Amino acid sequence: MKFVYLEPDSIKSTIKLLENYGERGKILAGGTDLLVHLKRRTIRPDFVIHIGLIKDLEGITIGNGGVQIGSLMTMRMIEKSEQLRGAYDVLRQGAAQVSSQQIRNVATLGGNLCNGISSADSVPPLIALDAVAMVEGPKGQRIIPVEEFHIGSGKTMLGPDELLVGFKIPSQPPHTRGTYTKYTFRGTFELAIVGIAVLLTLSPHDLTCKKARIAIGACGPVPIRARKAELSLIGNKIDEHFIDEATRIAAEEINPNPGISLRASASYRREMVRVLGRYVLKDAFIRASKS
Amino acid sequence: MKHSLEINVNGKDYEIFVEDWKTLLEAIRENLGLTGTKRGCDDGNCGACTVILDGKAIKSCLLLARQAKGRKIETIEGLGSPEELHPLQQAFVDNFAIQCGFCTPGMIMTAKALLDDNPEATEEDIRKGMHGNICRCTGYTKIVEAIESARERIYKMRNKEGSGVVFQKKRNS
Repeated sequence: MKFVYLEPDSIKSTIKLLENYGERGKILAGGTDLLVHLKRRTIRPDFVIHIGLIKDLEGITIGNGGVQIGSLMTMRMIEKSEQLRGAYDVLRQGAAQVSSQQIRNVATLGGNLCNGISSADSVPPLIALDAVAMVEGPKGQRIIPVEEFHIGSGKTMLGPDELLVGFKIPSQPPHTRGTYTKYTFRGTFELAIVGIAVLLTLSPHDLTCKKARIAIGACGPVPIRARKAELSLIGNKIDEHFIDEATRIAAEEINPNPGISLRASASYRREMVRVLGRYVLKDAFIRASKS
Repeated sequence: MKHSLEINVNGKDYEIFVEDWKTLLEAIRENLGLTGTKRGCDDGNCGACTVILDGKAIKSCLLLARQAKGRKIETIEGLGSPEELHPLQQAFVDNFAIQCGFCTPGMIMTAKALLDDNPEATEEDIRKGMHGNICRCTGYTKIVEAIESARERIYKMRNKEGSGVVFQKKRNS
Protein backbone atom coordinates (compact mmCIF):
# COMPACT_ATOMS: atom_id res chain seq x y z
CA MET A 1 0.00 0.00 0.00
CA LYS A 2 1.39 3.41 -0.92
CA PHE A 3 -0.18 6.78 -0.27
CA VAL A 4 0.36 10.28 1.01
CA TYR A 5 -0.69 10.84 4.65
CA LEU A 6 -2.51 14.08 5.39
CA GLU A 7 -3.50 15.31 8.83
CA PRO A 8 -5.95 18.25 8.77
CA ASP A 9 -6.64 19.89 12.12
CA SER A 10 -10.20 21.08 11.55
CA ILE A 11 -13.46 20.05 9.91
CA LYS A 12 -13.11 22.99 7.51
CA SER A 13 -9.64 22.00 6.31
CA THR A 14 -10.79 18.39 5.97
CA ILE A 15 -13.66 19.43 3.70
CA LYS A 16 -11.21 21.46 1.61
CA LEU A 17 -9.00 18.41 1.20
CA LEU A 18 -11.98 16.25 0.33
CA GLU A 19 -13.09 18.80 -2.23
CA ASN A 20 -9.72 18.53 -3.96
CA TYR A 21 -8.84 14.90 -3.37
CA GLY A 22 -12.15 13.27 -2.41
CA GLU A 23 -12.25 10.73 -5.21
CA ARG A 24 -8.63 9.70 -4.64
CA GLY A 25 -8.67 9.97 -0.87
CA LYS A 26 -9.96 8.01 2.10
CA ILE A 27 -10.79 9.25 5.58
CA LEU A 28 -8.81 7.61 8.42
CA ALA A 29 -10.46 7.77 11.84
CA GLY A 30 -9.37 4.84 14.05
CA GLY A 31 -8.27 2.74 11.11
CA THR A 32 -9.35 -0.69 12.31
CA ASP A 33 -11.41 -1.21 9.13
CA LEU A 34 -9.49 1.03 6.73
CA LEU A 35 -6.11 -0.57 7.36
CA VAL A 36 -7.48 -4.02 6.62
CA HIS A 37 -8.82 -2.77 3.26
CA LEU A 38 -5.52 -1.03 2.50
CA LYS A 39 -3.48 -4.14 3.26
CA ARG A 40 -5.74 -6.31 1.13
CA ARG A 41 -5.55 -3.72 -1.66
CA THR A 42 -9.36 -3.71 -1.91
CA ILE A 43 -9.05 0.05 -1.98
CA ARG A 44 -6.02 1.97 -3.19
CA PRO A 45 -6.32 5.66 -2.35
CA ASP A 46 -3.58 8.11 -3.22
CA PHE A 47 -4.33 10.07 -0.05
CA VAL A 48 -5.18 8.95 3.46
CA ILE A 49 -6.71 11.81 5.45
CA HIS A 50 -6.28 11.29 9.18
CA ILE A 51 -9.01 13.11 11.13
CA GLY A 52 -8.08 11.68 14.55
CA LEU A 53 -6.82 15.00 15.91
CA ILE A 54 -9.92 17.07 15.21
CA LYS A 55 -11.39 17.97 18.60
CA ASP A 56 -14.73 19.08 17.15
CA LEU A 57 -15.44 15.48 16.21
CA GLU A 58 -15.25 14.31 19.80
CA GLY A 59 -17.57 14.45 22.76
CA ILE A 60 -20.99 13.42 23.99
CA THR A 61 -23.46 16.22 24.77
CA ILE A 62 -26.87 15.76 26.32
CA GLY A 63 -29.37 18.53 25.65
CA ASN A 64 -31.31 20.05 22.77
CA GLY A 65 -33.88 17.31 22.97
CA GLY A 66 -31.52 14.35 22.84
CA VAL A 67 -27.88 13.35 22.66
CA GLN A 68 -25.16 14.43 20.28
CA ILE A 69 -22.20 12.10 19.80
CA GLY A 70 -19.08 13.04 17.87
CA SER A 71 -18.12 10.62 15.11
CA LEU A 72 -14.64 10.08 16.60
CA MET A 73 -15.95 8.62 19.86
CA THR A 74 -14.39 5.21 20.24
CA MET A 75 -16.36 2.08 21.08
CA ARG A 76 -14.60 2.05 24.44
CA MET A 77 -15.64 5.64 25.22
CA ILE A 78 -19.23 4.79 24.34
CA GLU A 79 -19.08 1.57 26.38
CA LYS A 80 -17.83 3.44 29.45
CA SER A 81 -19.96 6.55 29.04
CA GLU A 82 -21.85 7.57 32.16
CA GLN A 83 -24.17 9.71 30.05
CA LEU A 84 -25.52 7.01 27.75
CA ARG A 85 -27.85 5.50 30.31
CA GLY A 86 -31.55 4.72 30.31
CA ALA A 87 -32.85 4.22 26.78
CA TYR A 88 -29.44 5.07 25.28
CA ASP A 89 -27.90 2.07 27.06
CA VAL A 90 -28.76 -0.09 24.04
CA LEU A 91 -26.05 1.80 22.13
CA ARG A 92 -23.55 1.05 24.89
CA GLN A 93 -24.42 -2.63 24.56
CA GLY A 94 -23.74 -2.50 20.82
CA ALA A 95 -20.40 -0.76 21.27
CA ALA A 96 -19.39 -3.20 24.04
CA GLN A 97 -19.84 -6.14 21.66
CA VAL A 98 -17.60 -4.88 18.89
CA SER A 99 -14.73 -7.31 18.39
CA SER A 100 -12.14 -7.20 21.20
CA GLN A 101 -10.71 -4.83 23.78
CA GLN A 102 -7.89 -3.71 21.49
CA ILE A 103 -10.23 -2.88 18.61
CA ARG A 104 -12.73 -1.08 20.84
CA ASN A 105 -9.96 1.18 22.12
CA VAL A 106 -9.40 2.53 18.61
CA ALA A 107 -12.51 1.92 16.47
CA THR A 108 -14.88 4.88 16.13
CA LEU A 109 -18.67 5.14 15.98
CA GLY A 110 -18.43 7.06 12.70
CA GLY A 111 -16.12 4.50 11.17
CA ASN A 112 -18.42 1.65 12.13
CA LEU A 113 -21.23 3.24 10.10
CA CYS A 114 -19.13 4.45 7.18
CA ASN A 115 -17.53 1.05 6.60
CA GLY A 116 -20.94 0.04 5.28
CA ILE A 117 -20.98 -3.54 6.55
CA SER A 118 -24.34 -4.93 7.56
CA SER A 119 -23.01 -6.71 10.65
CA ALA A 120 -21.77 -3.51 12.35
CA ASP A 121 -22.74 -3.81 16.01
CA SER A 122 -23.35 -0.13 16.73
CA VAL A 123 -25.78 0.30 13.85
CA PRO A 124 -28.91 -1.65 14.92
CA PRO A 125 -28.94 0.24 18.25
CA LEU A 126 -28.62 3.57 16.41
CA ILE A 127 -31.49 2.60 14.11
CA ALA A 128 -33.61 1.52 17.08
CA LEU A 129 -32.95 4.93 18.67
CA ASP A 130 -34.04 6.75 15.46
CA ALA A 131 -30.57 8.29 15.25
CA VAL A 132 -29.47 10.55 12.43
CA ALA A 133 -26.00 11.06 10.97
CA MET A 134 -24.73 14.63 10.59
CA VAL A 135 -22.69 15.04 7.45
CA GLU A 136 -20.72 18.02 6.16
CA GLY A 137 -19.43 18.76 2.68
CA PRO A 138 -18.53 21.63 0.37
CA LYS A 139 -22.23 22.28 -0.28
CA GLY A 140 -23.01 22.48 3.43
CA GLN A 141 -24.51 20.20 6.06
CA ARG A 142 -27.10 17.49 5.72
CA ILE A 143 -28.84 14.99 7.95
CA ILE A 144 -29.17 11.33 6.99
CA PRO A 145 -31.23 8.92 9.13
CA VAL A 146 -28.93 6.07 10.14
CA GLU A 147 -31.58 3.65 8.85
CA GLU A 148 -31.04 5.05 5.34
CA PHE A 149 -27.27 5.42 5.50
CA HIS A 150 -26.38 2.00 4.12
CA ILE A 151 -27.49 1.51 0.54
CA GLY A 152 -25.83 -1.81 -0.21
CA SER A 153 -23.10 -4.10 1.02
CA GLY A 154 -20.13 -1.84 1.65
CA LYS A 155 -21.92 1.16 0.12
CA THR A 156 -23.19 4.20 1.96
CA MET A 157 -24.85 7.51 1.15
CA LEU A 158 -21.70 9.40 2.06
CA GLY A 159 -20.30 11.27 -0.94
CA PRO A 160 -16.55 11.28 -1.67
CA ASP A 161 -16.33 14.93 -0.64
CA GLU A 162 -18.29 14.49 2.60
CA LEU A 163 -17.35 13.95 6.24
CA LEU A 164 -19.50 12.31 8.90
CA VAL A 165 -19.15 14.65 11.87
CA GLY A 166 -21.50 13.11 14.39
CA PHE A 167 -24.80 11.58 15.40
CA LYS A 168 -27.96 12.99 16.93
CA ILE A 169 -30.21 10.72 18.94
CA PRO A 170 -33.61 12.20 19.80
CA SER A 171 -34.74 12.04 23.41
CA GLN A 172 -36.76 8.89 24.05
CA PRO A 173 -40.15 8.57 25.79
CA PRO A 174 -40.05 7.58 29.48
CA HIS A 175 -40.07 3.84 30.24
CA THR A 176 -38.05 3.08 27.11
CA ARG A 177 -35.30 0.47 27.36
CA GLY A 178 -33.58 -1.86 24.95
CA THR A 179 -31.20 -4.71 24.39
CA TYR A 180 -28.68 -5.48 21.66
CA THR A 181 -27.19 -8.93 21.28
CA LYS A 182 -25.19 -10.50 18.50
CA TYR A 183 -25.09 -14.18 17.72
CA THR A 184 -21.74 -15.72 16.80
CA PHE A 185 -20.01 -19.05 17.26
CA ARG A 186 -16.96 -17.75 19.04
CA GLY A 187 -17.93 -14.71 21.08
CA THR A 188 -17.88 -11.00 20.30
CA PHE A 189 -14.57 -11.32 18.48
CA GLU A 190 -16.44 -12.58 15.38
CA LEU A 191 -18.59 -10.56 13.01
CA ALA A 192 -22.25 -11.02 13.88
CA ILE A 193 -24.12 -13.81 12.12
CA VAL A 194 -27.27 -12.13 13.39
CA GLY A 195 -27.37 -8.89 15.41
CA ILE A 196 -30.64 -7.71 16.91
CA ALA A 197 -31.52 -4.50 18.75
CA VAL A 198 -34.92 -4.20 20.39
CA LEU A 199 -36.10 -0.96 22.00
CA LEU A 200 -39.47 -0.95 23.78
CA THR A 201 -41.59 1.79 25.32
CA LEU A 202 -44.11 0.41 27.81
CA SER A 203 -47.08 2.01 29.48
CA PRO A 204 -46.26 2.41 33.19
CA HIS A 205 -49.77 1.33 34.23
CA ASP A 206 -50.30 -2.01 32.53
CA LEU A 207 -46.98 -2.61 30.73
CA THR A 208 -48.60 -2.63 27.29
CA CYS A 209 -46.26 -1.79 24.48
CA LYS A 210 -46.61 1.77 23.23
CA LYS A 211 -43.64 1.85 20.87
CA ALA A 212 -41.33 -0.82 19.52
CA ARG A 213 -38.21 -0.78 17.41
CA ILE A 214 -36.62 -3.98 16.12
CA ALA A 215 -33.42 -3.47 14.11
CA ILE A 216 -31.59 -6.44 12.62
CA GLY A 217 -28.04 -6.51 11.25
CA ALA A 218 -26.09 -9.09 9.29
CA CYS A 219 -29.24 -10.57 7.73
CA GLY A 220 -29.08 -8.80 4.41
CA PRO A 221 -26.95 -6.33 2.51
CA VAL A 222 -28.02 -3.55 4.89
CA PRO A 223 -29.34 -3.48 8.47
CA ILE A 224 -33.15 -3.17 8.55
CA ARG A 225 -36.04 -2.39 10.82
CA ALA A 226 -38.54 -5.24 11.11
CA ARG A 227 -41.54 -2.91 10.86
CA LYS A 228 -44.25 -5.55 10.61
CA ALA A 229 -42.86 -7.30 13.69
CA GLU A 230 -42.82 -3.95 15.51
CA LEU A 231 -46.48 -3.32 14.64
CA SER A 232 -47.47 -6.74 15.96
CA LEU A 233 -46.33 -5.66 19.42
CA ILE A 234 -48.04 -2.26 19.67
CA GLY A 235 -50.91 -2.08 22.15
CA ASN A 236 -50.23 -5.55 23.51
CA LYS A 237 -48.91 -6.86 26.78
CA ILE A 238 -45.85 -8.71 25.55
CA ASP A 239 -45.95 -12.37 26.56
CA GLU A 240 -44.72 -15.64 25.03
CA HIS A 241 -47.44 -15.54 22.37
CA PHE A 242 -46.54 -12.03 21.13
CA ILE A 243 -42.82 -12.78 21.35
CA ASP A 244 -43.30 -15.87 19.18
CA GLU A 245 -45.43 -13.91 16.70
CA ALA A 246 -43.06 -10.96 16.46
CA THR A 247 -39.96 -13.11 15.96
CA ARG A 248 -41.76 -15.26 13.39
CA ILE A 249 -42.72 -12.13 11.45
CA ALA A 250 -39.24 -10.61 11.81
CA ALA A 251 -37.67 -13.79 10.41
CA GLU A 252 -39.71 -13.28 7.25
CA GLU A 253 -38.84 -9.59 6.97
CA ILE A 254 -35.11 -10.06 6.67
CA ASN A 255 -33.47 -10.32 3.28
CA PRO A 256 -30.45 -12.63 3.50
CA ASN A 257 -28.56 -13.71 0.44
CA PRO A 258 -30.50 -16.74 -0.83
CA GLY A 259 -27.40 -18.22 -2.42
CA ILE A 260 -24.08 -19.03 -0.89
CA SER A 261 -23.05 -17.01 2.12
CA LEU A 262 -19.65 -17.38 3.77
CA ARG A 263 -20.86 -17.66 7.29
CA ALA A 264 -24.49 -18.79 7.39
CA SER A 265 -27.28 -19.85 5.03
CA ALA A 266 -30.44 -17.81 4.63
CA SER A 267 -32.55 -20.43 6.40
CA TYR A 268 -30.12 -20.55 9.33
CA ARG A 269 -30.26 -16.78 9.67
CA ARG A 270 -34.07 -16.83 9.64
CA GLU A 271 -34.05 -19.49 12.33
CA MET A 272 -31.55 -17.55 14.40
CA VAL A 273 -33.62 -14.37 14.10
CA ARG A 274 -36.41 -16.33 15.78
CA VAL A 275 -34.18 -17.86 18.43
CA LEU A 276 -32.07 -14.81 19.24
CA GLY A 277 -35.05 -12.52 18.70
CA ARG A 278 -36.94 -14.25 21.47
CA TYR A 279 -34.10 -13.76 23.89
CA VAL A 280 -33.52 -10.12 22.97
CA LEU A 281 -37.23 -9.24 23.02
CA LYS A 282 -37.69 -10.84 26.43
CA ASP A 283 -34.63 -9.08 27.81
CA ALA A 284 -35.73 -5.71 26.43
CA PHE A 285 -39.17 -6.20 27.94
CA ILE A 286 -37.69 -6.97 31.37
CA ARG A 287 -35.47 -3.88 31.21
CA ALA A 288 -38.35 -1.65 30.09
CA SER A 289 -40.75 -2.99 32.70
CA LYS A 290 -38.22 -2.28 35.44
CA SER A 291 -37.68 1.31 34.32
CA MET B 1 9.68 8.91 0.64
CA LYS B 2 10.50 8.81 4.33
CA HIS B 3 9.55 11.59 6.68
CA SER B 4 10.52 12.14 10.29
CA LEU B 5 8.24 11.01 13.10
CA GLU B 6 8.61 11.55 16.84
CA ILE B 7 7.33 8.81 19.10
CA ASN B 8 7.79 7.86 22.74
CA VAL B 9 8.43 4.18 23.40
CA ASN B 10 8.98 2.64 26.84
CA GLY B 11 9.65 6.06 28.31
CA LYS B 12 12.17 7.22 25.71
CA ASP B 13 11.70 9.75 22.91
CA TYR B 14 12.75 8.68 19.44
CA GLU B 15 12.92 10.37 16.05
CA ILE B 16 12.52 7.85 13.27
CA PHE B 17 12.16 8.11 9.51
CA VAL B 18 9.28 6.19 7.96
CA GLU B 19 7.15 6.19 4.84
CA ASP B 20 3.57 7.38 5.28
CA TRP B 21 2.20 3.87 4.89
CA LYS B 22 4.29 2.11 7.55
CA THR B 23 2.32 0.61 10.42
CA LEU B 24 3.27 1.13 14.06
CA LEU B 25 4.21 -2.56 14.18
CA GLU B 26 6.73 -2.09 11.37
CA ALA B 27 8.15 1.05 12.98
CA ILE B 28 8.61 -0.70 16.33
CA ARG B 29 10.26 -3.78 14.85
CA GLU B 30 12.23 -2.32 11.96
CA ASN B 31 13.10 1.23 12.98
CA LEU B 32 13.57 0.59 16.69
CA GLY B 33 14.68 -3.03 16.56
CA LEU B 34 12.16 -3.97 19.26
CA THR B 35 11.22 -7.37 17.93
CA GLY B 36 9.40 -8.61 21.02
CA THR B 37 6.16 -7.42 19.40
CA LYS B 38 5.25 -9.96 16.72
CA ARG B 39 3.68 -9.82 13.27
CA GLY B 40 1.21 -12.72 13.27
CA CYS B 41 -1.79 -12.28 10.99
CA ASP B 42 -1.09 -8.63 10.15
CA ASP B 43 -4.82 -7.95 9.82
CA GLY B 44 -6.01 -7.38 13.34
CA ASN B 45 -7.17 -10.83 14.39
CA CYS B 46 -4.45 -12.69 16.28
CA GLY B 47 -3.30 -10.01 18.72
CA ALA B 48 0.40 -10.95 18.62
CA CYS B 49 1.14 -7.32 17.70
CA THR B 50 -0.54 -5.86 20.80
CA VAL B 51 1.18 -2.90 22.45
CA ILE B 52 -0.09 -0.36 24.94
CA LEU B 53 -0.83 3.15 23.60
CA ASP B 54 -1.59 5.84 26.18
CA GLY B 55 -2.55 3.12 28.64
CA LYS B 56 -4.80 1.17 26.28
CA ALA B 57 -4.09 -2.12 24.54
CA ILE B 58 -4.13 -1.74 20.74
CA LYS B 59 -3.15 -3.84 17.74
CA SER B 60 -0.11 -2.18 16.24
CA CYS B 61 -0.60 -3.83 12.85
CA LEU B 62 -3.78 -1.79 12.43
CA LEU B 63 -2.31 1.62 13.30
CA LEU B 64 -0.25 3.71 10.93
CA ALA B 65 3.02 4.74 12.59
CA ARG B 66 2.06 8.37 12.07
CA GLN B 67 -1.09 7.92 14.14
CA ALA B 68 1.20 7.35 17.15
CA LYS B 69 2.85 10.76 16.90
CA GLY B 70 3.27 12.32 20.34
CA ARG B 71 1.68 9.35 22.15
CA LYS B 72 3.15 7.00 24.75
CA ILE B 73 3.82 3.45 23.61
CA GLU B 74 4.74 0.52 25.85
CA THR B 75 6.07 -2.72 24.39
CA ILE B 76 6.99 -6.01 26.06
CA GLU B 77 10.60 -4.85 26.27
CA GLY B 78 9.45 -2.13 28.65
CA LEU B 79 8.18 -4.58 31.26
CA GLY B 80 10.43 -5.76 34.02
CA SER B 81 14.09 -6.63 33.55
CA PRO B 82 16.07 -9.86 33.15
CA GLU B 83 16.90 -9.69 36.89
CA GLU B 84 13.35 -8.97 37.92
CA LEU B 85 10.50 -9.97 35.66
CA HIS B 86 7.20 -8.11 35.77
CA PRO B 87 4.64 -10.10 37.83
CA LEU B 88 2.80 -11.03 34.62
CA GLN B 89 5.98 -12.30 32.98
CA GLN B 90 6.90 -14.28 36.10
CA ALA B 91 3.37 -15.68 36.33
CA PHE B 92 3.44 -16.88 32.72
CA VAL B 93 6.70 -18.72 33.42
CA ASP B 94 5.55 -20.17 36.76
CA ASN B 95 2.19 -21.36 35.40
CA PHE B 96 3.47 -22.98 32.19
CA ALA B 97 1.49 -20.48 30.12
CA ILE B 98 4.19 -20.43 27.40
CA GLN B 99 4.80 -23.11 24.76
CA CYS B 100 6.12 -21.70 21.50
CA GLY B 101 5.99 -18.21 22.97
CA PHE B 102 4.83 -16.38 19.86
CA CYS B 103 1.54 -15.14 21.32
CA THR B 104 3.12 -14.38 24.68
CA PRO B 105 4.20 -10.74 24.31
CA GLY B 106 0.77 -9.82 22.95
CA MET B 107 -0.97 -11.79 25.70
CA ILE B 108 1.06 -10.09 28.41
CA MET B 109 0.52 -6.57 27.08
CA THR B 110 -3.23 -7.13 26.76
CA ALA B 111 -3.33 -8.64 30.25
CA LYS B 112 -1.37 -5.73 31.68
CA ALA B 113 -3.78 -3.20 30.18
CA LEU B 114 -6.68 -5.28 31.44
CA LEU B 115 -5.38 -5.48 35.03
CA ASP B 116 -4.33 -1.81 35.08
CA ASP B 117 -7.89 -0.88 34.12
CA ASN B 118 -9.57 -3.44 36.38
CA PRO B 119 -7.29 -4.69 39.19
CA GLU B 120 -10.10 -6.93 40.46
CA ALA B 121 -10.81 -8.59 37.13
CA THR B 122 -12.54 -11.94 37.61
CA GLU B 123 -11.86 -15.01 35.50
CA GLU B 124 -14.79 -14.02 33.29
CA ASP B 125 -13.51 -10.46 32.92
CA ILE B 126 -10.11 -11.85 31.98
CA ARG B 127 -11.48 -14.29 29.41
CA LYS B 128 -13.59 -11.52 27.86
CA GLY B 129 -10.73 -9.04 27.92
CA MET B 130 -8.36 -11.49 26.22
CA HIS B 131 -10.77 -12.16 23.32
CA GLY B 132 -8.48 -10.34 20.92
CA ASN B 133 -5.47 -12.64 21.47
CA ILE B 134 -5.19 -16.09 19.94
CA CYS B 135 -2.96 -18.97 21.07
CA ARG B 136 -2.49 -22.14 19.00
CA CYS B 137 -0.48 -24.04 21.60
CA THR B 138 -1.75 -23.85 25.14
CA GLY B 139 -5.54 -24.04 25.04
CA TYR B 140 -5.70 -20.84 27.14
CA THR B 141 -6.28 -22.46 30.56
CA LYS B 142 -2.75 -21.83 31.79
CA ILE B 143 -2.73 -18.33 30.37
CA VAL B 144 -5.86 -17.42 32.31
CA GLU B 145 -4.44 -18.99 35.49
CA ALA B 146 -1.21 -17.02 35.03
CA ILE B 147 -3.12 -13.77 34.69
CA GLU B 148 -5.20 -14.53 37.78
CA SER B 149 -2.06 -15.35 39.71
CA ALA B 150 -0.45 -12.10 38.54
CA ARG B 151 -3.57 -10.22 39.56
CA GLU B 152 -3.15 -11.52 43.11
CA ARG B 153 0.51 -10.66 43.30
CA ILE B 154 0.04 -7.16 41.85
CA TYR B 155 -2.91 -6.52 44.18
CA LYS B 156 -0.87 -7.63 47.21
CA MET B 157 2.01 -5.43 46.19
CA ARG B 158 -0.31 -2.42 46.11
CA ASN B 159 -2.65 -3.21 48.98
CA LYS B 160 -0.73 -5.54 51.29
CA GLU B 161 -3.48 -8.15 50.99
CA GLY B 162 -5.23 -10.27 48.39
CA SER B 163 -7.89 -8.94 46.02
CA GLY B 164 -10.62 -11.13 47.43
CA VAL B 165 -11.51 -12.31 43.92
CA VAL B 166 -12.27 -15.98 44.26
CA PHE B 167 -9.73 -18.05 42.38
CA GLN B 168 -12.04 -20.56 40.78
CA LYS B 169 -11.09 -23.57 38.77
CA LYS B 170 -14.09 -24.55 36.70
CA ARG B 171 -14.20 -27.49 34.29
CA ASN B 172 -12.73 -30.91 35.17
CA SER B 173 -12.03 -30.20 38.82
